[in-house]
Amino acid sequence: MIEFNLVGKSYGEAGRGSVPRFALRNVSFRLEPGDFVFLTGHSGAGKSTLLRLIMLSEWPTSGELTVNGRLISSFAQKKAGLLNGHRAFVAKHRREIGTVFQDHCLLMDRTIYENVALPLDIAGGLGKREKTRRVKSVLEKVGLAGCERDTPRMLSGGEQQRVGIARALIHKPKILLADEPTGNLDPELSREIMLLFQRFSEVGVTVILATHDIELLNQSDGNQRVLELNDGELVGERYLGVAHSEAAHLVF
Amino acid sequence: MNLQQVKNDLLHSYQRLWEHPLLTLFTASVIGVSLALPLGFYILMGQLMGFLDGWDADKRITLYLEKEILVAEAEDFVAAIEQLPEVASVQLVDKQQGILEFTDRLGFDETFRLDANPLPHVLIVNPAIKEEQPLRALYGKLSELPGVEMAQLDLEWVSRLSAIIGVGWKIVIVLALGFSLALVLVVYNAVRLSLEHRRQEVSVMELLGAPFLFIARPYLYSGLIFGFLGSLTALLIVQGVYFWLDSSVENLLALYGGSSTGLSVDWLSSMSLFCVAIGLSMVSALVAVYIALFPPSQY
Repeated sequence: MIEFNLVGKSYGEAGRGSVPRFALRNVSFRLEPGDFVFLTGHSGAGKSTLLRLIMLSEWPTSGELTVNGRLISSFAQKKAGLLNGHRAFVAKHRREIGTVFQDHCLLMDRTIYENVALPLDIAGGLGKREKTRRVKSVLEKVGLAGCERDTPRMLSGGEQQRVGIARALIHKPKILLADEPTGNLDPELSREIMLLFQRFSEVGVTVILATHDIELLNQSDGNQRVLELNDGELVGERYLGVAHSEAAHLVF
Repeated sequence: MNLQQVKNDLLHSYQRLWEHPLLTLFTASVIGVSLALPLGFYILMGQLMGFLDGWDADKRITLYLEKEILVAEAEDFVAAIEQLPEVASVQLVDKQQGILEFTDRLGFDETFRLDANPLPHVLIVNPAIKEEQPLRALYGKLSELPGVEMAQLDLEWVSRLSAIIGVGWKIVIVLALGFSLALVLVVYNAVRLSLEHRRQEVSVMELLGAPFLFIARPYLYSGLIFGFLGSLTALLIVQGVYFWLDSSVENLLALYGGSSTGLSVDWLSSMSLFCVAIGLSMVSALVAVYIALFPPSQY
């Protein structure tokens, strides 16, 4: 479960002639397990900030955020907590999340197998045979069967994107975050990846997908929810297939 | 963490180190030289201590009797001195035997003759005690016996050598501490540089929720490899130097009536060297990763 309750995020402090810049303002929504949400908005609307808050790469400056039952109240928590405890808390939190990064974030000197298996290695406790089976299976699903021994340098941008997707899915996370996951993919592959995400949401994974690609929304089956952000504010919320919000024109 | 994971991480660390072979060899050499100096001194001091202990066993008091003393009287002396509790045994070297040993040692043949034997009867007293103060007391007691012309107990140079060895041990400790610090700093710096090169990799692992030890493990293994290579280099240096010095040391000790057991680094010292060097290197690597992931500015 993910719940945003009047969450805000700003950079810089007020005073001494400077004005804080707000990346998010009073954002509130609630997602249940199995929800599939598109996060839309123009560049700088706050989509990536919202994803970073969920994975605790950044901390909210106001409001309350609850992820998987963990309350992440404010920036003060980060400062107040013991450093070691804080890091262990963040690391445990992130292990429950699968993230597809916009810039892929692959380890360029490791093989595709090692990249994809990394979340399993971090979690530990899985035998080599099971690990290999899972890596092969997920690579097959993203159309990269047989690439295990290659390194990311040998792959195109789109293929690297798919390695990132495979890595985000392999450990069966409770939450899947994806920042422009199909930006480098052709339409056919984009559709297949979307179907894969949908299958994950059907088995209870909460999927949050940040995109400004309207075609991606059109490929969906209509059961997904759309949260529309503009200048850090949640300006519209709708289900695909239901009438567009009035703010839709701002986004697309 | 399973064995396969450890094997993979070790292999990765090894491969990473050889991506920059010159830097790795340079680091291992610096560690090797840092360890070689205290190790070399340590073994040398051990050898000197062994020599000194061996000499202690042969501490003897030599009594030169007055020339007028007859053999029968000298034998009475022997019986009397052997009664003392501090004395283990007494050996009489009469003047006849003395002159024979003298000419034999100097290489003179039987054509060499003196008109009269100038040597006195000599008693060689083997004390039952080894400590310096009681030995000096016994020496004083024996030298004052009537009929004893001169007594000899050559403890002075042994005392000096013993004092020098005492200072030597302290120097070994100072060297060991100083060069251990050097080792720690060298490994810390090497791991810090490696972390700088792999900052992006560390960031990715953090984003995926890797715990501290998971991120630190490859660098700990780098520390292990640096420690191992450094110890090996130190051993080779010390063994090489000892091989070169061995005959000279043997000659030197022979001049003082001792013998060398052969200069070499024994198994226990070698194992201790490997354990200490690898342990220190791993701790340094751990500290380097800790400081990189938890910069002091965060405290």
